[in-house]
Parts: sequence; structure tokens; C-alpha cells
Amino acid sequence: MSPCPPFQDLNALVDGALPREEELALRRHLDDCPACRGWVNGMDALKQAVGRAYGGNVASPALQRAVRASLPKRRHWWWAGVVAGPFLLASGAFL
Amino acid sequence: MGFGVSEESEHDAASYSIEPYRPVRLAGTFRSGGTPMNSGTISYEEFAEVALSYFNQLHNAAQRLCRNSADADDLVQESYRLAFQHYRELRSLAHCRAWLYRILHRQAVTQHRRQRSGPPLVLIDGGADDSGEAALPATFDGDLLEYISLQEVRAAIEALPSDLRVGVTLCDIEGFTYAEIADITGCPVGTVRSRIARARAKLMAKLQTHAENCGIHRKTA
Repeated sequence: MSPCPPFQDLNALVDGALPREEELALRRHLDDCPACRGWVNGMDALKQAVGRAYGGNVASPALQRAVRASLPKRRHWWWAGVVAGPFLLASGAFL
Repeated sequence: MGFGVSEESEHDAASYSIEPYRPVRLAGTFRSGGTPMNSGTISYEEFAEVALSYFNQLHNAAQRLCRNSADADDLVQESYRLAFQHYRELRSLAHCRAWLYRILHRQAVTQHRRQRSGPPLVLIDGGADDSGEAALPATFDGDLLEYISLQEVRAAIEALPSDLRVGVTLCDIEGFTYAEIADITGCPVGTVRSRIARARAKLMAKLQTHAENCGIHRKTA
């Protein structure tokens, strides 16, 4: 049996964050090592529990309205053209 | 197995993004994926539809960051204001969620700095000691979690130091990858990996102790 991997590697395995080859090697180790298997199972259960610990609260409609009202509005650049165009034309004609 | 969770050996203290002594860098916050801007390919309407669909998720994350409803509301509002101001810098709508979280986290740091004057600044820290090794319990039986209330799990999470709590909640609750968490918090991926491992070690130790104190371990034996 290969030596037990560092805790961080078992942790990364639970998160699916190991490169494919490392993951395969670690899973081979888990087949032979009940202690590491126990840690992985425990961490997996903990990950699920943390995920469940915070229910999805819904923000109040008042807050949603306030946020929407405070958002920068889309800029309509064509208005700038409408306003500035005549001035630019007049300036050009004057010069 | 007697392994412990080592400190973040591969990086220095400056790698902490939500730490008190590091100047908050907002430069580049709004640039998604380090690539050129979308040069107007995402319309205001498209962005608004996608960004606002994450409103409740972002608000929940803000509440976990602030632990104070009024501050959380302000944080969400200011984050959305910034996001809408800078949405042209978002490369793709596929990155919108992580981008919004990045703005939220950077803004949380800024907001916290404004609220308190003079060092030391500790962002919504649970008050736990973040130094040294996170010792693992001798054993950890995942089955005992069936007998521990979610309220107790929440209390254990909230007692974590802020940097550990942010990492583990972004991973386990929001489902972000290590690379995305690194992007959101501005830390190297190795730091994220280390923090999540340390957070889980601390959570396991705390919940195992709680279970033993309550005699829960006898039920699972």
C-alpha cells in the first residue's frame, strides 16, 4: 500500500480539485486504506452538512426595489449626438 | 493516521486578500478572466437579466460576510451599483456569477475598512485563533452529522476565522471551484486549497467535540 497522502490531498479529492492522475492514484490508495477512506467519507459528509447549513433566504422585495432603483441607468449616447450635432455643424459652418 | 493540516507554507502573509494589513487592491477587480474587455458585446439588458438573477445568492453571501442585515443590504446595493457601472469589463456572461462575488468580496473589505478606523482591522472575524496548525481530531465519523443540528453546524462555521470561513462557504455552499475562489478572493489557488483544508479540520474538531460532549458518539457506535 502506498503511504497515506497529506490531509490537503484528501480534502482536494472531496472537492474534485485534484488532477486526473493524482486522483486515480489516490483512489487506488483508498481501496486499500480504511483510515483514509474514513476521512474522505467524513469530509464528504461535512461538505454536505455545510452546504445544507444555510438555507436559501430570499431578500426582501423592498431591498430588491431599492437596489434596482439605485442602479446606474443605461446611457443613451444618441441623445448626445442629437444635442451636440447642431452645435458641431454650426461651429463648422462658422469656421 | 496522524497528519495535521500545515500552515500555508507555499505563500506569504501578503497573499491574504481579506486580511487587515494588506491594502485593498481594487485595480483589476472588474476585469474578468484577465482578458480584454467585452468591448460592448454584452448589452445592458442581457447583463441586467443575468446579474439580477443572482440577487438572493449574493444577498445570502453578504449576510454571511457581514452578519448584520443593514450592512449586508448596503454591501449588496453597492456591489450591484459597481457591477452595473463596470459591466462592459465583463468578458462573458458565463463568468458573471464569479465576477459578482469578486466585487462583493472586494467591496466587503472596502466597506469594513471604512467602518473602522485604525488598525487592526479584522473582517467579520469569528474571533478564533487563526495561527498555528489546525489539529485534526483523532477520528471523525461523518455519520454523527446526522445527529447534529444545522444550527450547530452554522455556529461552528461562524466561529471560523474569516479567511477560512470565506473559502469553505464559497466552496461548499456556492459550489465554486478552487480556481474561481482564488479569483474571487484574490489569493493563489494553493492558499485556497490550504484554507479549505484547515477550515474542514477545524470544523471536524469542533463538531466531534460537540458530539462527544452531547454523547452523540454513543448513538452511532
